[in-house]
Amino acid sequence: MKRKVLAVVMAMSMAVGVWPAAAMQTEASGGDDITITVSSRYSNDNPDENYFRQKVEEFNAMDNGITVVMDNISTESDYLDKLRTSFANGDTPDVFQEYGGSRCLDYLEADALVDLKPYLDENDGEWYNTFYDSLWNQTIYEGYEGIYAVPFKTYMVVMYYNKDLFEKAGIEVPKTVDEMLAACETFKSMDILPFQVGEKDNYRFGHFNNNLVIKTLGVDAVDKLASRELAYDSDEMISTYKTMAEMVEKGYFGDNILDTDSTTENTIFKEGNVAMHYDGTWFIANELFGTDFYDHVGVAAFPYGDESCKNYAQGGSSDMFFVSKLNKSQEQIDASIEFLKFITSPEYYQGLDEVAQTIVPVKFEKTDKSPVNPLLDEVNKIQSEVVDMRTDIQNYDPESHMLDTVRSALQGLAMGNSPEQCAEEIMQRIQEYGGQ
Amino acid sequence: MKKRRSSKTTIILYLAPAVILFVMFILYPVINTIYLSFNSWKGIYGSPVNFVGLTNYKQVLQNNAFWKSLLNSFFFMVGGFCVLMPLSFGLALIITSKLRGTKFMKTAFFMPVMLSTTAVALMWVYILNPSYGALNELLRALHLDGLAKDWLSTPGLNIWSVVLVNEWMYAGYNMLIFAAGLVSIPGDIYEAAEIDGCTGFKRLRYISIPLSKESFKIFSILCVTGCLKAFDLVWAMTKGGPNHTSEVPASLLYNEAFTYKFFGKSSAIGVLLLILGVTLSILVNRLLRREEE
Repeated sequence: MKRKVLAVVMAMSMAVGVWPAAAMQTEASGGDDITITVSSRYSNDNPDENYFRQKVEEFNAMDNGITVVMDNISTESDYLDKLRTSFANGDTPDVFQEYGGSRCLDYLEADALVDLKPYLDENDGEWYNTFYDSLWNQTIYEGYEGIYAVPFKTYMVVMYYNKDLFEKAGIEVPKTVDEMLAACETFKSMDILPFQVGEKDNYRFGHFNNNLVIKTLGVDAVDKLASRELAYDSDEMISTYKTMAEMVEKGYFGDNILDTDSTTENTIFKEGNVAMHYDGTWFIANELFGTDFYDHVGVAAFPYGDESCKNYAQGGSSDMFFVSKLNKSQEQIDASIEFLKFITSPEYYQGLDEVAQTIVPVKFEKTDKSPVNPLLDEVNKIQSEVVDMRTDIQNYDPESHMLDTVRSALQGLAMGNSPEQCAEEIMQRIQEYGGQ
Repeated sequence: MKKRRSSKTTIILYLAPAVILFVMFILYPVINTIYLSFNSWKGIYGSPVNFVGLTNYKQVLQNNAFWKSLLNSFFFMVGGFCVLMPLSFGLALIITSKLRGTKFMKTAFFMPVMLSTTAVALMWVYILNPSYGALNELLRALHLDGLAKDWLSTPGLNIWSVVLVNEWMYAGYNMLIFAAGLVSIPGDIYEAAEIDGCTGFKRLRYISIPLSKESFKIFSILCVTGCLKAFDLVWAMTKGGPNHTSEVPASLLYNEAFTYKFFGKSSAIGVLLLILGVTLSILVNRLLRREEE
């Protein structure tokens, strides 16, 4: 008898274990309030990301029947791993931050993304018209009707430089790749680090190569690479890897670059020990504004390799928000749209401009509280001369693995791989993954 | 009759939790992995799963990265047998000896096992940092600048750095296995041997090691299977990089699935690992049994 009772108790305990989960499910779907999850990488303690979190809290305090639960993971690879896992098990966030391009194409192909065009077009395109027109090309996909993301941040990769070190070296800020290499040599001879790249985060070499391609081979090369008209092992592409390999070999990219991450890279530059630092325009708001080092920094366009490409740049929409429709109710989707409208409103960016100035995707009027920011003015001047832009080259590729594939192969250059090995690795991966 | 039926119900109820857990967390995932390994799937819930036959296996076996990752697993095994085994056995000898402070030593040697893998990995990532890491600082202080290396980013060296950290971490755990074997050796044997003049190293060679055979067997099987599925430490220390140089099969499997979204291919790696693990375990078992006979 005792045994029987014990067995029944054990079986019941199994059932009880599952109960809370079932109860939570009922509560979530049965209440009046809608809870949506928003995933992003905005967990850092900087003015821009603090502002985002503060605005989400404000949204939650509005008592509009929508509660936003934030899931913020700063590290890119960890964030993307979690996002991909959520898509595999079907428990996706309602709204998520991504960088667009081919990496999101798989989600679109699986019919997991909400077409935002109907919402953007409402009231004669009221929401649509708040954004700059040029940014929409990154939210549309060939062969698919509609708009699948809203731009949240825009950027351009520029060259920041330490004014004191350039003055000490007595050289001009480089305008061309050759001048940049000559400047690196000068700094090296003076025992000053020309760059300190944090290639532990492999997007750093990815961005450098993007700029070499866009500003040497032109924006057409980006489309040609995507269509395979231009091969990753062509002489033109190998020449870009060669430039980087030489810079690694000569120590222009700094010391221990594979053990340095991008955060450390920023810190070392801000300590005043490095002559140049290429980065997105977000660097001003997140790392420079309000610091003592601000006045010691200058900004210039990334050097060009061919004069015909000098007015091209790497830039566009960086962060975008997508809405998932995987296992989502219409109420959840509507709540997600409501939230997106809030965080992409001119008022949002007006407030942002007061605490963290950067280039943004939405038109808004500055207030009296907007601080003076000469570096950003300089960036705007550089941007006004740009005639065409592309974001990460592999974002335009039809194969979603290409961004990771190319970045990984470029990381090989930092280990001492030859340009030919780098090209071969990319081609091998293309062949390996082709047709999957 | 009624009693027998009720006893059957009791048996079923007793077994149910274990069976349910086994089916949910082992059997179902294994069957699903085998199924996926013959298909192509982008890893998005509800997206089509297309049958591709043996293509995934063909691609995995033709992939250099897979063989490189297996080689790295082999390094783990080499490290396991050449470093971890003697180290753990040595520690076991110390804590089972009559030396003073064995209680303290037991705790100290076992400490790394109690720490989480991520904590151990982070600690060693800092120690091995080429710019400010304690190891390189120490080498420089000893005027051995030439030996100061970029431990986690130099191909070839990085995997061995992880292997040695792995040995440091698990030495305490395996020490317990060997210690259990050593304390079970009857004291009479040692006493008799001592009378016959068998002391010191001879005592170790002719008594302790042969009579710890069972412990060596357990260690061997755990080492072989454990090395094949090594993941957490590698992931936390190098993520298989840079450029896949410290990849092990489990990290490759993870990257194929969650970085490149090739879940079919990733599953094929999983199945191959399972086959390899089972085969090696059987082989080791047979080898040790034959020796016994």
